[in-house]
Amino acid sequence: MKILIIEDDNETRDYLSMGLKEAGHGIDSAKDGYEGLLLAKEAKHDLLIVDRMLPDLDGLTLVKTLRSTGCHVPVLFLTTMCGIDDRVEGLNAGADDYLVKPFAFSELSARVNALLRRPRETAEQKVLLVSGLEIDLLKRVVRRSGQIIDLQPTEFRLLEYLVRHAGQVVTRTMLLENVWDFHFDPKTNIVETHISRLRTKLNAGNKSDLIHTVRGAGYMIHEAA
Amino acid sequence: MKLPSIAGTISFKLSALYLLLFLCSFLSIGVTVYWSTSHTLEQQLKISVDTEAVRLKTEYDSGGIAELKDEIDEVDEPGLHTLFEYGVIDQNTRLIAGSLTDFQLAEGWQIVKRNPATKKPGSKLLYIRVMALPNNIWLGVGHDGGYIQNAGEAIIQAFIWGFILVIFLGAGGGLYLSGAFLRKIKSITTSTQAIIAGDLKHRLPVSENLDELDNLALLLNLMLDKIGSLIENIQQVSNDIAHDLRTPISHLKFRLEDALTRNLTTKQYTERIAFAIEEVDTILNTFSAMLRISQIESGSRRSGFKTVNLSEIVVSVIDALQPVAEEQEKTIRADIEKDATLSGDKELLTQLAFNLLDNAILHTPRNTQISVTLRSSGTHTELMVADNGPGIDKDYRHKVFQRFYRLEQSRTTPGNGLGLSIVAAIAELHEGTLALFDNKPGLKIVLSLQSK
Repeated sequence: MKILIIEDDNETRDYLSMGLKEAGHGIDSAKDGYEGLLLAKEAKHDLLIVDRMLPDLDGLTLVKTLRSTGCHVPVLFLTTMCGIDDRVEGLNAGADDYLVKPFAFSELSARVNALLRRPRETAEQKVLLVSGLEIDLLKRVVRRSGQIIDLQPTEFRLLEYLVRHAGQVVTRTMLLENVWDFHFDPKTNIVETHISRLRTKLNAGNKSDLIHTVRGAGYMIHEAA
Repeated sequence: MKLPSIAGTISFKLSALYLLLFLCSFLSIGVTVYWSTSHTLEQQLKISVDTEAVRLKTEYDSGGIAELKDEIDEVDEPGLHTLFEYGVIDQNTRLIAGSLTDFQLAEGWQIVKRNPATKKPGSKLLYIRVMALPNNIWLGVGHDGGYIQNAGEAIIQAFIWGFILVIFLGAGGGLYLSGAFLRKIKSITTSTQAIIAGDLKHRLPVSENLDELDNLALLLNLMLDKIGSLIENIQQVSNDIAHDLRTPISHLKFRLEDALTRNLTTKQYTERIAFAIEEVDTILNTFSAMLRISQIESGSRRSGFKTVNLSEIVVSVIDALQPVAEEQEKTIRADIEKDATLSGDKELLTQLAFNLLDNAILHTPRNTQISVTLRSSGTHTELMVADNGPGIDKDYRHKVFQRFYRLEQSRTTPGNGLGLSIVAAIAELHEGTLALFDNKPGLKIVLSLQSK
């Protein structure tokens, strides 16, 4: 996959491109907004990583301009930690996801993978099937090996998110944002507690673990059926 | 700062202006009085002279020149005191009767300078009414007009003295007032300079009579009090930041130095690095929380307020924290009124509710009962989080909203002492009030917000 990084800070840019290259992506990079916009307009990238603060042309304007020209490539927006309004602004401008600096590389990597795989789930699915798990989205019923598992609404949403991102690492922050709609960092680890309850319910009857903990990164459900 | 000279002060300028206006009106009154007095006196004089002349003419008309001569001789007797002077002259300018000669042979009024040699001294002006009688006889009746001039001069003199007095009093008063004003300003200036120089405890002087300047000084003092407490707060916060960040940073340094000097296995190195990252995350979290607080306090989020359903928010927060409470063997009892709406920021209100409940779970012992209540009346929405834990001593209750403040009993639990500060900032942003009560036993926090 080809990724374009538009970031003026040399260190961050090098850190990102090195990490993403190691993960097997092709990387282009730009130091400022104009250069970034020119490269993005060539439309050969699968994903853009855009910093909010850029010299000449800021990230918001860049994304807006790009979207107005009909370019729909996924955009991951990077914001500084003090900008709590930046998230809404970035998403309104047309970004698909955002990440607050400073972030762990594992977090970025998980978001990048989620964005790159996005097109696949656009088809409206009524039933999700993964590793012997069956989730009926309409009836909101979960079965494992044919047996109905009784889940609370939050547990259902949590499982649905994990299954929709099967094969990808899902971070704690991604879960907080998408399952609970919490856009702050709760010190108490509610994600772990809920995951552990969900696990207990899914594993009832000595079944093997479906949700895998990826150390230092997050959780994952394997894709293989 | 240099003070203006007295002539440059506002009070002096005002006094000078008033003085000028006063002098102008004084002058115009003087002119009017002078003019009307001399005019009236002149008129009276003319009327009496006219009457006398007409009387004499009647004598002449009835008895001829002899009768007139008799009459004049009778009233103009040297021993007899009369104010009038008379002269009857024929066409050859021969004096027939009386003594008055220095008038022209022309009908009407003549004002002549008194010949100093005449018998009546002391007056300078003579008003003469000249009348033509039949047979080319000319009658002149004169009256001394010097007193009119004297009266005028007296008036002018009185006004000149008055003028001088007014100038002295006005200028003196002006100077005195400006001086008093300047002294007051000077003391305020001195105090202000002391404050600028760094003595923030200094206050402006306020005198007992409480004039406008004193009221201003009182207000400025109140402002200084407010600024002083803000500065103290900032100093306190920066001290706290420095102190609070020093601890994790020195832990980090200690661990890293230790790792550097030892021969460790790769696994051990990995562990140390993971620990270091954890410490750095703690520090970064503290920074984020600080920045978040200051951004909330800036009030910029208010522009994005929308109608939010606080009931839904509180329910989702309880839902998220319920398993955490259960894990710690604590129970949450919820009594949430449905559809309590208000104008606010959903993200921040979620964090507020989360922090309040999270705090109650975190700082209470096992088997604590926590109750969350949401009540909404037409005007107010009240969110109450109460527990039957150990509570907070009355003396420390107000401190828990301060940044970095941690109670002695919770030093060992994780946290940065900013959770309730964020709650306070969010409550303030929504113009809400927070109050802590004794739940007997335990703590009760009540947030009161305006409903929409």
